[in-house]
Amino acid sequence: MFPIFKNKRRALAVLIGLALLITAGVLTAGGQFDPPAGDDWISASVADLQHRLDQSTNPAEQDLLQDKLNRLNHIQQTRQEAGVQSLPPQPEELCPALSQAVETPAQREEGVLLLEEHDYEDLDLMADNGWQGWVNGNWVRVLAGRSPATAGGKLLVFTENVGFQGFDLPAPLRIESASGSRLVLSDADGAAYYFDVAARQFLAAPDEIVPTLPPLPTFTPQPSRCP
Amino acid sequence: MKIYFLRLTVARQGFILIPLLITLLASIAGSAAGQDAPPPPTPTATSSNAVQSTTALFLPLISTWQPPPAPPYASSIYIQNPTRDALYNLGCSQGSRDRNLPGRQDNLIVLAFGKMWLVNGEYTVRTFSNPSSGLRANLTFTDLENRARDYILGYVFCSDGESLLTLAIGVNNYDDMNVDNDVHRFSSNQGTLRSTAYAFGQRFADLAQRLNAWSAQNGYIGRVWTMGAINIEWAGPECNRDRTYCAYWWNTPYVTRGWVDGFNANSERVQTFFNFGACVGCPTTPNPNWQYHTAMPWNQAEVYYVSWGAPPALPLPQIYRNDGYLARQWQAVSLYGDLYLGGAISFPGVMTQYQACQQRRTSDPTCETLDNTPEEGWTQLMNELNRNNNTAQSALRWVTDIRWQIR
Repeated sequence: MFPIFKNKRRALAVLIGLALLITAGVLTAGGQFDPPAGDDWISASVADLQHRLDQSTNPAEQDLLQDKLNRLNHIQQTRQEAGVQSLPPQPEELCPALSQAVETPAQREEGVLLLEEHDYEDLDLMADNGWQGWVNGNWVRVLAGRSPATAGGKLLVFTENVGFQGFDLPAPLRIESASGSRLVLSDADGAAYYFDVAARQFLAAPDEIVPTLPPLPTFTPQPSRCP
Repeated sequence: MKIYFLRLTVARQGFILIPLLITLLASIAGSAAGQDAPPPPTPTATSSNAVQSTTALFLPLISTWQPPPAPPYASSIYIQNPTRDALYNLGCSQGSRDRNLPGRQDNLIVLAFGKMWLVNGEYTVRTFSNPSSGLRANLTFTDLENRARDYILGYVFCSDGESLLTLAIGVNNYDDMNVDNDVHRFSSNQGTLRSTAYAFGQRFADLAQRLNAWSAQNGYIGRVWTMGAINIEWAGPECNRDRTYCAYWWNTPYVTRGWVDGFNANSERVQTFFNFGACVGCPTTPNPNWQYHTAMPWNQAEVYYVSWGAPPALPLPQIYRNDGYLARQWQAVSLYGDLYLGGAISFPGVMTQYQACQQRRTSDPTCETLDNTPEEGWTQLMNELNRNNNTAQSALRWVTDIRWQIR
């Protein structure tokens, strides 16, 4: 016998340790999601609500559960009646046509913009005004304003088919003018700021020379899978 | 030799016992205690209600509740570029995924179109900003219907012929719906806001009804069911640049209930909707005295109503916080319902935002702690619900992870 097992306490400790290790392994073993056939959400929910309804003694709960159960039963019944039919051919008249352009040619005018829409809360911007134009072969739109979250300033630069960049600023700015792709902005106190759209950066002085960004990758439109 | 009798209470959700192990260890422990254990210490003075014991038995009772594996997630979308072609392709992508997975899938997908918006008196939904163009689109309900149809067509014709799709057409309760035609100020007219939200809710119920009728006419109803959806949230006030004007930009429960009641009124006791919001600032225990703020008086009863208490309402809580706090908040809402209202909630699923965080990780620092994977979000809610018999549920059938359409 190994010396360690001569002492019953030690042997007990080792045994317990081993048992715990094995048990932990068994208990933490995962598996794959494998619902039984017919166990879609509607079926599962109907069964769950019916069980709760059968157990409930609260009239308010019973009414609520019955109403929800009726709605889910309707879905389940509709699905079952329809079954999994073979699909009809894709209707041509409903097939999406070419992408409906959001922009119109008139919106392609270059220069400083007076915005009709200011709310870009999903990008944390309440815009004041903007600028748009062609920069190195890309259509670019710049929006300036404030951040609703911080009440500081914010500048967003949108490059068509590429995406946007955000610049957080100490104070809200407004675009005053543009020279080529260089923007002159000002804050509430009238202090001037300069932003080079081609370089996507603020400048220390209006005549500062900064490198232009390398060319952006060519955009390849996603083909429609609709015949 | 002493014989020990153990009485074990079994939780409703079940747990795993190792009876043989216990028996074995009990006999060994008993034997060891009888032969080698030191004598119990001499009792010292104790208070009258202290429990006195001269024998201690330690058994490694191992109890755990392990949730079943999470179901595969489907991708919900924040819509930024609502062309018909793009919607068709989104549906086709989901259908192609199902075609490539074994067996029949059962998807829940929310198309989150943006916020409710009046344009010259017309009811529209204002989509999220297109990160490519810096533009937003205002879609009429006819536009929404066509986009939803395009998504459904893309799904059914790229899918496997047997998988199921529940499609929820969604909006949020942010902003004043442009009732005052002034984007810089939030309308203070709660009555107008409520009646406008009510009218929007009616239109969403009508939209779901029309889409289901169209699916039935065209042979898709066995696979596709359409619902409404609303992302109900709230937050603190936002101020203008010189802080001369501050306002809450999410809607109050009074206004938001308008949407819910409007949907219910036109639901024909058939249509349903999801609340896919967060329970912002909610406590993690039932608390009838809690409310978010006097100016934004959301409380657990209101959250319960818009998520479950209203007949067509179903909850699809966002469980994206890594520490599990959001799951505890929603479990508390359910328990609140059990204690004070019409019973606990049955959650059909959860929503996470892992993909959205992957898309905006560099620009959104909050994602560092708010990027639960779908499996993590699902597991957190499942565990919290099953922590209490009164909120326990054996199945949490859906998990959907939201992402931006573009980035």
